Amino acid sequence: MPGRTVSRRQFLKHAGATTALLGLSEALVPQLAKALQELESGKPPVIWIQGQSCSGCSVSFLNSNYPMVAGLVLDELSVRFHPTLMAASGYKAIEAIEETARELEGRYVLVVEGPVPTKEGGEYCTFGVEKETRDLMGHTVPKDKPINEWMKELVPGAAAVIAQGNCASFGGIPGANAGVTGTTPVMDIVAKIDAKKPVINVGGCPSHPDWFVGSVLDALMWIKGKKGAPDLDRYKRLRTFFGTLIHENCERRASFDAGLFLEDWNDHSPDMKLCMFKMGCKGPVTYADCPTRRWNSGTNWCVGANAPCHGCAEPTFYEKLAPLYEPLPDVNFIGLSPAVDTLGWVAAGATAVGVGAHYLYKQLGKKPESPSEGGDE
Amino acid sequence: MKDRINVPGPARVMYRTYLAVLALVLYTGFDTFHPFLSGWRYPWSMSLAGVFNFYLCWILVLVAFVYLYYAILGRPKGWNEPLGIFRIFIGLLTIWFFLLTFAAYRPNGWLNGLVHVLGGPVGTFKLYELFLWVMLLVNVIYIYARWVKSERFPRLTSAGRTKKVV
Repeated sequence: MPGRTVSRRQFLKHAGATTALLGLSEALVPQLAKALQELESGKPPVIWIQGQSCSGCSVSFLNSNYPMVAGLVLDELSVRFHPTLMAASGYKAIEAIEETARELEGRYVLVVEGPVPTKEGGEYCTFGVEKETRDLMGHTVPKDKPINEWMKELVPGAAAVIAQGNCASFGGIPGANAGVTGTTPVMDIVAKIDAKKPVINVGGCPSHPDWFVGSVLDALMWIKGKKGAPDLDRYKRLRTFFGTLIHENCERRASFDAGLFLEDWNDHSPDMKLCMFKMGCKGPVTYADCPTRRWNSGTNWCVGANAPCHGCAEPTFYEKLAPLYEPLPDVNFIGLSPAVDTLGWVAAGATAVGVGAHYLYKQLGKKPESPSEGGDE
Repeated sequence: MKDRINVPGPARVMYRTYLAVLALVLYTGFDTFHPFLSGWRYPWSMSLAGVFNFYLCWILVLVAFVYLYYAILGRPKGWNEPLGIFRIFIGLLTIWFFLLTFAAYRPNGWLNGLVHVLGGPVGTFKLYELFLWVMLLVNVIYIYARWVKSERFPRLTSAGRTKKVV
């Protein structure tokens, strides 16, 4: 890396760590190093926009420590627009988007944090202004530009779209009552604009910095032809990060298997590491590598901190996994929502009553046996 | 007197195999998905129950397929056992139960389309639990109904045997 104070050894170490991050073989380290070096010279431009988001995924991204976020934002990527990170504001900031879209068409990566509201013309989420807008009196006034319009403008020229976080990927919390604002996941918006545009979903609320960094690098290497297409599951998530069930690798799996369940939050034995399934843990239905990757530089993760998994990496989060502190939701049957066990026991009771009643009916209604049938004695 | 019921040997063997495997599948299924109820519960036993449950289902579905073939296409002469339609229904239900089991255990497998239709892994998981009950109760009802249709009902032993004992 000429012109920078990074030794070859440091650079290869960085490439090796990135390879591990992506879950690739060590044999790919030289190829990845070369790809990163080429990316370095080209600095792939990134436009990061925010929809119905809380900026939590941006904050989580700032916790990225390897690669360091500063290096990632400034060196490996060229983040042209990020509403939280960038110094510029107002028209200057908006110009950065427009310039990037115009000058680097087909080369930039579009990162969208938060889903896109579509009702009321998308006015629930706007940034920047649309030009030549007139009010009722005929005066030319600036009009807020909905993110939906930005998507129509930016998606066609993007090399790939990254939906950052569960909300952007699947609707998440804003999507739990999607009817109010017409919350739409990013992939659905992109599909309407350009069905062939590659989209990678990064689940999580917030998403893990490694998941995001890994997804961006995977997409960039694919675009540059340095590796095959990203290995995605049916929800367009990288299998590297979302291929294993949390339950399988959970540090409290032994408690689940042994039937040792936490049943009261006031239980004074946190060191027992009791399974939190009965307290609403969604680990049995959530695909993510949290137990092994952990958060905050590998410090801990939700279950390790005595909090049940909320299933935030799943498409069913939040609506179908709520209430978060209740066991897995029940089956809806003709508008009722009894627990499966209750339903089962009621059906078993009905079966027993039915069988018993039939038996009694047959017994009571049975004709006395004739002497010829009873035997010869 | 009821007519003598003739059940061919292969059908008898298949049903006995089916019942034995079903009992294990239901036990391990409830044990795996309801570990909070009670009972046999150690780390090794739970994982063993999961493995048993998943792989025994294959035996169940194979028996169901063979039975359906035997009862529909390759039906032997002289088989006058009542409730044939009920057994075919149970065979079809078993195939569905197998698909549901597979989808619950391998939500990202080749049945991920079914998982999607059923509302994702959570819906599949809960429906599987529900169908554990359905399989149990349908088979209990069948056993009772078959007993009602048998020569021995309402006794547990046939009149002929009783006569001999007496």
